[in-house]
Amino acid sequence: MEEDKDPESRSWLKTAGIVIACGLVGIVAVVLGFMLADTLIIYAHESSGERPMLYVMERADPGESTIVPLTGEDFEQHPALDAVIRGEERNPSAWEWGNRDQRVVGGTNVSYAESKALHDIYGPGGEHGLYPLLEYEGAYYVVLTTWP
Amino acid sequence: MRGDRGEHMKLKPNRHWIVMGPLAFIGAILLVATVVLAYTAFFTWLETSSGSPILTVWEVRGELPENASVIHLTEKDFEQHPALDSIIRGDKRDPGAWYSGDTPYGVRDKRTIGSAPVTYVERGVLIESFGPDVETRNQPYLEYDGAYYYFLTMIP
Repeated sequence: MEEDKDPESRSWLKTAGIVIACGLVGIVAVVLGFMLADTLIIYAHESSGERPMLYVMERADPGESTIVPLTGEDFEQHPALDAVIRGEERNPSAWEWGNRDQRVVGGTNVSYAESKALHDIYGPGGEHGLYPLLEYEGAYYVVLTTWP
Repeated sequence: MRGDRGEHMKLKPNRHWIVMGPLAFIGAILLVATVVLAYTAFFTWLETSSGSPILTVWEVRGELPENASVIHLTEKDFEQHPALDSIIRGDKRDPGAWYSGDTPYGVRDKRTIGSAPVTYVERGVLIESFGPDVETRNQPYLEYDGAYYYFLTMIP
């Protein structure tokens, strides 16, 4: 009896093991496929010769948007954001042009990879696709990136 | 002998796996990458085929009203708004003839300076920086090198 049961359960375990291993390998392959596609897309754009822009808008009233505080770490990881909000690329427009509750703080050229990274972190999210407001020293900012 | 044969039998499917496994793995990576690339290319094509906003700049001449709002364009402004730079002093500059026509300031002598496609983000940023005051409909003059300009953006 025992001799019969043993190989059966062993082969069942073996099949389950193979299925799980194939599944895991499949997931890894899909993830690698996405990464490869992302790399190729960014490479194709970078070699197009065009440069995306990063713009930062300031909002007077936070309204109902999600507020995320900007930390020193954000500025460290994204020097372009640092330069626009508190560095040499700061070039604020007057509040009166366009909508009076917002103005442009500044902008700078970034690489496609940086533009994508900034959009992924600070771009619109949630079900309504709203831009989160970034709070720094009492002011509220929105990060916009172009993808020419 | 029996044991040998058993091992031989086992080896066959193993070898098969050694060849097919990595091939299937690479195949799956390439398949996913191709699907993602095709999907992205399709949506990029859809977006670009529907057209992008067009920025057009005009120059106006004559006396400015006393209470006119004037923004003096700086090097930094041109650096941060490359489309405006290319129209006012770059390769998109192609001035037309002077004529008397409607402007945001009433009927004035004007001429077109040039046009360039911009992204929706650039359009929004240009309007917030130098566009009309949405509340009072007051449009500033953009001054550069002694000439006065205004711009409009057209959405396709």
